[in-house]
Amino acid sequence: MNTLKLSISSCLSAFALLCLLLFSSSAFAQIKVGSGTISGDFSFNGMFYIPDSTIGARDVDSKVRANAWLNLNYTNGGFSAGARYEFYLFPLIDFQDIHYQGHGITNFFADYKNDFIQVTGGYFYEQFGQGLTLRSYEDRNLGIDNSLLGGRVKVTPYKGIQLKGIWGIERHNFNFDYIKRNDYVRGLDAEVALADMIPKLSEKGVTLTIGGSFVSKFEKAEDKMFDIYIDTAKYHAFYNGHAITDFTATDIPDVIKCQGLISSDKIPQNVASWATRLNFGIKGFRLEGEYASKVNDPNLSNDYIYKRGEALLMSASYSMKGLGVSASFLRADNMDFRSQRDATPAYAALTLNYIPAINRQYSYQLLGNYSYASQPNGQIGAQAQVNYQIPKKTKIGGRYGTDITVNYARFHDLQKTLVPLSDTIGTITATEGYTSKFFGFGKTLLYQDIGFDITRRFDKHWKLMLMYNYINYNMVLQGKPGTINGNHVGFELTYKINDIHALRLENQYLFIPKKNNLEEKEKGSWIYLLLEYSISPKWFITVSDQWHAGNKSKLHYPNAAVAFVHNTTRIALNFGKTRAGILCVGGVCRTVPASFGLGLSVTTTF
Amino acid sequence: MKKLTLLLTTLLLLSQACNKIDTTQELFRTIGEVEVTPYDPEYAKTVIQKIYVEEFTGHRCVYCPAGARELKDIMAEDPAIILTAIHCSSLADPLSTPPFDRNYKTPMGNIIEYDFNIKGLPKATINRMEVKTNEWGFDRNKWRSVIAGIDRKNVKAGIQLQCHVDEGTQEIAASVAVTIIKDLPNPVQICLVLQQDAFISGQVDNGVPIPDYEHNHVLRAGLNGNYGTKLTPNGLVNTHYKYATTCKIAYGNSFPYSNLPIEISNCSIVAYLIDMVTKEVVQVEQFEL
Repeated sequence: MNTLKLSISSCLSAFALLCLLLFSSSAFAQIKVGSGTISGDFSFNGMFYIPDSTIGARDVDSKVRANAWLNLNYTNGGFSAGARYEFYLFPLIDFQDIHYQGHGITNFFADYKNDFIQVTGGYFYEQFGQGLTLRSYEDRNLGIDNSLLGGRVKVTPYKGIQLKGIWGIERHNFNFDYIKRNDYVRGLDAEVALADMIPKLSEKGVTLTIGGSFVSKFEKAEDKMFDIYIDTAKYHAFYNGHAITDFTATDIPDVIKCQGLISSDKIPQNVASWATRLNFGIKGFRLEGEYASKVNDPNLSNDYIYKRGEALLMSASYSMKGLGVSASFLRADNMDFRSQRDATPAYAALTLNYIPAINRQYSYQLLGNYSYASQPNGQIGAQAQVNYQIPKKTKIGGRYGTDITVNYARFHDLQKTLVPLSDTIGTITATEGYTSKFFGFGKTLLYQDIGFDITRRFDKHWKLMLMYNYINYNMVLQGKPGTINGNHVGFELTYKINDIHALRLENQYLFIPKKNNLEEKEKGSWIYLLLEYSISPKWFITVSDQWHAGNKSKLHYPNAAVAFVHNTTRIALNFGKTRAGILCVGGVCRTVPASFGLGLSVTTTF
Repeated sequence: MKKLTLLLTTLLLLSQACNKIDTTQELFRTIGEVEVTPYDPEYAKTVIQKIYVEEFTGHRCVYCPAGARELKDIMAEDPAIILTAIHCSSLADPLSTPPFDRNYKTPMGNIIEYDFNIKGLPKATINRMEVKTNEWGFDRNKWRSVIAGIDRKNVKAGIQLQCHVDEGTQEIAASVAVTIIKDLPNPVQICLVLQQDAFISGQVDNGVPIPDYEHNHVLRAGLNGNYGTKLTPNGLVNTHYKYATTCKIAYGNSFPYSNLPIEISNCSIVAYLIDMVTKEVVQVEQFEL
């Protein structure tokens, strides 16, 4: 009860601060201080939780919970400084589950830049290339903030050339005891934009950029103990030869448990990663590629193997009026790169790099529930997409034209051959692990999506979008058995009553065949229905329901929401149920627990 | 020149920012139930070098009692000596009638006698140091001088031994922790044995049969094999680490030599660390049950 009172009073305090800010922000907007300006933003995301055993919404200890933060920035010419206060003392349960809990000044910085140099001290975000070696960023929805506390220098010695150097300690949720940390990161990046240096290239519409980066993390090495489960029947010869008698028996016949040790001198304290990249464009054609490699990095996510990591990300696109074609290829092998080798792989915390998901990202609810989660330690796949607009004022295209998008994506695990030593000793740990052909597709299909959608505006009032997708989603991506092999059909119908009032109806159906090896609660088809009424630009009223119609449970996940927008402030109230699953942004995912309750969200900038 | 210096400095920094580990060797060790922890420097300072003496004897060996008395005297002067009596050879064979009907021989003792080429009793190995090529058994007249000549200051390892007797299950659990104080380049194994004092039976002493002679330090059995077990798969151990494990032995009906019952109050466990290349004993410890 005391916890409940505390959480309510804490959340009310945050809410009071919010009201004060709303008042001050609407009254003052950006604040002038001398020749400088103070700006910022504030966000409050609160919820009152109601337990609901039917959907698995648990009875949380503090029913009133909120995430809130305030950014304040001061800018004066080339100088800027800022700080952020975050209040996650009683966070939304999603965030508590990933240990994103606490409060305090989580970010402060001072930055100066001119045409030649930019110097930053404090917390900063940085990305080298496409992020294969370093991407320090934040995503509040995911609970990710891997900012670096340290220093950064960017130099532009010549037009078209940029050099960057960074040193920092990566933020780890609300653990601010940086003095005790035994890890830090340093990196260099260089990029040359040839088109900026050679006017003839830019005159011909050519863009050409080459770059390279080097990132190294240091973490003090300590002896690493780990459990090994060995099939003694299979590996009898080796272990009998080693005359070790004191293994622990397990429930599985012939399988014994023993412990392994990698001594600290066999653990690399400095782990380096490097990448090279090329961006080339001419008129409507664009080619981008980045290759990254990482030296031996035994860590929890790769079972402490010493294999070199590598990743290749290539994409090509061509666009002209009414047509856009793009294709991408991604291969990532042992590229989970974190500040600490024992960081929990299930959480994004302490991640240094970013291996994106290149498949099409859907905002539609039922497809979004099965978003592909990028697999930095082993994935190979490709994606292709064609966007075509049937011209306006034609018989087929109609008065406003018709947009068609077709896409295909397929991702597999890697084809792996275990190294001989691992076959001798029964574990890949502390070996090179495996070898893998660069273009070898593994047998496990992780994700496949083939789909198309057609969007057409019929007149000033009516607009319709039809979509179809066939997806194969391996539930191993959510740590569960089975594969979703589903047909997804849907439509989105918008009726614009006038310039202010509009209605939008969204309906989706995900058909999942009954015969499959999914968990019982995952079986069966889904239906989703959403109706939105908007009064532009201030009001949005939405009701929706996800219905697990094909499951024995026949569970409903109804939701109702009202949003009000005033200038730069948005206030939203929602009531309803959320199904358990995952939330993904750009291939980075986190689990979402089932929940039911009343939510309030406020964001404002000033 | 400035550019070259900058380039070289950068390359130097980059080379320092990457540790490549050679994976052609096994990087990890399986260690069964051996717990590996950093050592305690304070404990390491207190460790004294102990000396393991294996006395090879037999109840019909004429001069063995004299040898036993010699060793008793040496041990009285030097408490760092730990003794195991291995009854072996035909002179230890039991007779059909008392008082020489006891069999103190063990398979483990026989193997040690054979492996260390013991010929003629009494003999003693001293830390299993070689007397000369392929011979380890010192004659009685050498024991004192050889023991006196051992360098006690070069302590390479310490052994901590704790034992627990479970009368319910009739099991002895010996918890041994080996602290590596100085570099041991060769593979090692820890060996634990059970030995027993105060057996009363016959012994020939200088030609005279003594029917109620007291036999002490008698080897009864090994807890983990004739030469013990490795602390790591390849036997190599790291300096400044402590390797702890537990071995058990049943002393009830399942004890392999139950014709001579175990009297726990007369027993002790001896643990010794063996250099598997030189065969020498690096350190030894004893725990009285």
